[in-house]
Amino acid sequence: MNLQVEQLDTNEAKFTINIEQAEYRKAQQTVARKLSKDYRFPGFRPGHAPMNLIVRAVGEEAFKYEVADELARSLYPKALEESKINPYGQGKIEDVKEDPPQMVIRVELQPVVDLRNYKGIRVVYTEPVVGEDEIQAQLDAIQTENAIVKLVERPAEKGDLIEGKIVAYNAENEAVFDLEEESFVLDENLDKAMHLVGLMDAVIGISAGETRNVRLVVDDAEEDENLRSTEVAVEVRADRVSSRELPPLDDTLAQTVGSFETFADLRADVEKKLVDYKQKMAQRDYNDLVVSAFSEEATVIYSPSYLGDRLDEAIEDIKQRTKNEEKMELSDWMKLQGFADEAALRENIKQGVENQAKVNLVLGAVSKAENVIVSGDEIMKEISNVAQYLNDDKLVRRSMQDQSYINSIYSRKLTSRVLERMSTIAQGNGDAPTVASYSSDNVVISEGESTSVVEGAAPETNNG
Amino acid sequence: MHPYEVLRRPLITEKTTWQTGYESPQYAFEVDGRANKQQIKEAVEIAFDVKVTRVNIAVMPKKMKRNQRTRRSMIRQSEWKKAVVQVRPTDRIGIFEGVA
Repeated sequence: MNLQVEQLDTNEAKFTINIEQAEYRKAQQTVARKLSKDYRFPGFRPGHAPMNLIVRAVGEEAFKYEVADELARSLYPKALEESKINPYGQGKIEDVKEDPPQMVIRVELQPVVDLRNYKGIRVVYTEPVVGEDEIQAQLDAIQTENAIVKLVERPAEKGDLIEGKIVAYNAENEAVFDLEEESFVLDENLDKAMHLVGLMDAVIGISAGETRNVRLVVDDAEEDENLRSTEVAVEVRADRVSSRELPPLDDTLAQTVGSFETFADLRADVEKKLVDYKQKMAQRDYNDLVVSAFSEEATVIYSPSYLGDRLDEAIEDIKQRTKNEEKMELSDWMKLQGFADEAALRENIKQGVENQAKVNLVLGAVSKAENVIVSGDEIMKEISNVAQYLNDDKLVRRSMQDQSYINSIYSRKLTSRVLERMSTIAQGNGDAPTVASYSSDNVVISEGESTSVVEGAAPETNNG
Repeated sequence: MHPYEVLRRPLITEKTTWQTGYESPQYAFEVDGRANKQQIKEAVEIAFDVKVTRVNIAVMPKKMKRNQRTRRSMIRQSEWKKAVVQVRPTDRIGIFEGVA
């Protein structure tokens, strides 16, 4: 066997294998014998039909590729070994020549990620600031929730709570929408919620037991395009009118809404929750920016099959989700979503899948470059925590037998750790060690059973 | 009888394939039931441009076949005539070539 390897721009390699005549002849005979055994040729016992008759029966071209397949079984692994190439999937026979015997195999290579100068990436993290107005808005909401409601006999005023119904009718006198709740607060938000211009003004002054019919215009924010800017007949019925008395923002209110002693405690708690929430959001946005920056810096090359496989996975994921959550087949779901066929769905999700694939490859490359690992102990600890949380002692044993569950935990932990590391680098602290305490100990169950450390699963993220 | 009415089809089986490899190759044909040795010889010589040195003929008997479903005997094949022609060692018939 004589091998020539050519690297292609499409992250593929082309093997040109020159085969010795004797080896080719031997393969031809092997294939002929096999075909002769597999198919009946009248006038011949199975396995005794001559080669040329078989060639005539199956066609020269088909026979040639059968021989190539037979040869590839032994020559392809040798060629991979000789060329030291790590393929992505199986090679494809592109061309076969008989005289002299030669075979061309196209091999897709594993994706290549060059992180380039990733250590030099800097993304500024802006600490979120919680303003006084935001805290006040939260306190106002608490105050409104705890308003003291009293039935009144007077006509409704702005700020009152009205129990009743609001229904809008179109020109054909068909009800087009109504108020879902059984009560509403008479303020500016009512117009926005019902998408009716001037509704609040039309309702002010209504008394308990009264029904008002008014004509109002639907605003442009209405979901139904056909109703926008049209005039509808609105029927408002008030069963009961109540005034709302807001409680003062004091210690009593704080004690009512939770285990706080003073109003200051309540305020501090509101502020802390707001800060936590904003920090979490800021960190998420920051991670997105960092991942984008790393992805932009990196050069990622992958073969068409790699993307095809990721698309297949995405379609399978949609299929499973529609089956489990929506209880319908993919074909029905596609009809509902307006996709003519699976090809249209693939085209629609292609860009997103491609971006996600690139991000995952970059994360995988960073985890390798920075030696970020997740030990078996950590996975074990995570499973124990979940078991403790769910109060299920048998969960640990069950989980240890479920490799896909272990992989998902590994993948999640690794992703979060890689993101942490990327954030550290992007903030200019990339020289710090990853985490000194990481180890690659095996997961050990107390009864002496053990499972190996999860390795090789690519981290996954939904960021970016 | 026109020479082209004589030969019906070549017979390619394990046995006839083996016979084509003889020193004086032999080729088998299904021929018209009315054809005699002379007519077969002429037909082969005209059709394949070879010199025929010997002709053997045999009338293959009709075969009774049994219907698998009804188990009734019925004739499925009528009798037919087989001819094995021997040609000079230097002659070859193209349609049999590449089979051996």
